[in-house]
Amino acid sequence: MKLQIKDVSYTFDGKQNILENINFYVDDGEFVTILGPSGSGKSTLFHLIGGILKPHHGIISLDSKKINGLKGHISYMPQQPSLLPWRTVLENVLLGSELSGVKDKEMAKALLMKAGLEEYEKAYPHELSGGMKQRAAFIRSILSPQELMCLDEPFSALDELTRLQMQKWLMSVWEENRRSVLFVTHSIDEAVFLSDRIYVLSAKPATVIKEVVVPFPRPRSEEQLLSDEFFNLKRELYAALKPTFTT
Amino acid sequence: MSGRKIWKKGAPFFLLLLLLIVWEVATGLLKVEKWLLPAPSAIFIEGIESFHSLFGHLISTTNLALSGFFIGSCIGLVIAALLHLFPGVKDAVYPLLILSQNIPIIVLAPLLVIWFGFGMLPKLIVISLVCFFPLAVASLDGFRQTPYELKHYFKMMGAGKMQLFWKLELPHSIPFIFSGLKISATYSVMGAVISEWLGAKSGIGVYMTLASSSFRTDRVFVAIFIIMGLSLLFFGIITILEKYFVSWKRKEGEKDEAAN
Repeated sequence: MKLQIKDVSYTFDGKQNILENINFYVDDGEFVTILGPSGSGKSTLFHLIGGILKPHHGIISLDSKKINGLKGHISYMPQQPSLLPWRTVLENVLLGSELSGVKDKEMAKALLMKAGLEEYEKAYPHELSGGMKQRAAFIRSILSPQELMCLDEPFSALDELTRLQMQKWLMSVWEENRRSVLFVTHSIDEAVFLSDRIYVLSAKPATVIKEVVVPFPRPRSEEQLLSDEFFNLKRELYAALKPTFTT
Repeated sequence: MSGRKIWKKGAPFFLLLLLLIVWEVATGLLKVEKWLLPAPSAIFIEGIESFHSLFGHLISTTNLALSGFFIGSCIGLVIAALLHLFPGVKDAVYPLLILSQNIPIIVLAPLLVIWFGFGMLPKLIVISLVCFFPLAVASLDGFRQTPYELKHYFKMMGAGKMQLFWKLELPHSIPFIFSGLKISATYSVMGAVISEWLGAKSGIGVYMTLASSSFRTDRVFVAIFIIMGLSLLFFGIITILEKYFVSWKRKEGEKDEAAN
């Protein structure tokens, strides 16, 4: 087991819990998605795993080692690409590994090539489109040496078509190096298309209300997005999510 | 180059030329005494004639201004970095920094001479005192205004305080630092001249005091123009350096302009 979250609770003001008794795990090489409505505390959950915040109750462990409040154990991809405007794309994708030790320039170049960004190695972030920036941000998190990658709604700011393109691209890259991924989203389609397993989070206080295994084989294709199984799964997830945003 | 562009680049120059012409004609028509207000042409001629003796003064003032500017800027940057990294210290020290700018230099300068003699030290202190402040304030703003999402990424990746400073906050504030440098570069020339009034062997400030005490108004104006020229030159050099060091920012701006 890569990451384990056990009975984790968190509160900002000491009265109302934001997160309540959260339990889930991510296995080695597994793609796990946390699906929840906006404002359900998904980001707070990431802050806890990243060590910026400390849970008031429960244990967060990585490779069976407790990491409550410890930073630097995960590779992180934020909602905004957060590339440094004064660095070229190549220098930017190396930033994650630079912060935690060893830089691998050749690997970076190879990944940029695969992402179709080889011509932009020396370009600055403002010269890239939204999708290209997110690809650079994803490469940066792959290049970071930490084994667990935490992706925080990375495609939520992109338009529908670019998002679909990005999801396919992310799948193809991920299937090649199979890191453990914890992915956060509020899009059901995205969750089903990408994940091995999905946890549904309720609204305040957030807690895990459902766990769903996605049975589709890999590599996945767009056609699966239109299959019956896909729709059944989608219905199931929708039913689970519904009470979280109708109340 | 289009007419508009020529106007944009040359406008200040045209205005200056116009003012000089008005000045020249007015002194001629109204027959103003030379010791009251000499004509620009007379000032120009005096400047050319005394160029040899001026050159030495110019060199020593430039030296003084540059050294003071360098020391003051370094102090400003270091103070800003320390105050930023130790917010507790900032609360205590920041008001004092502002107060330091309220001490009239004219009063402080003679005191410095009493304490440190007529050497370089009191002069450098005066220039540093006027130069450090714009830089400290500008860099502090730069450090503080680092975008939240970038800081957040660094923290989630486990970056320490020093990594955060060297890899994020410092590079982010470079455009701010250059704004501060431009201001303190122009201040440094004034600071140098004032500090030379205290007593120096050579320098534009010395030349100016001699000229005004002997009612050589034309020479006073020569000195004024030299000071202006020197300030402009410093400002220009910093601007060129800025273009080189923050090229990414300039390109960003060009893109915005193209989009409009």
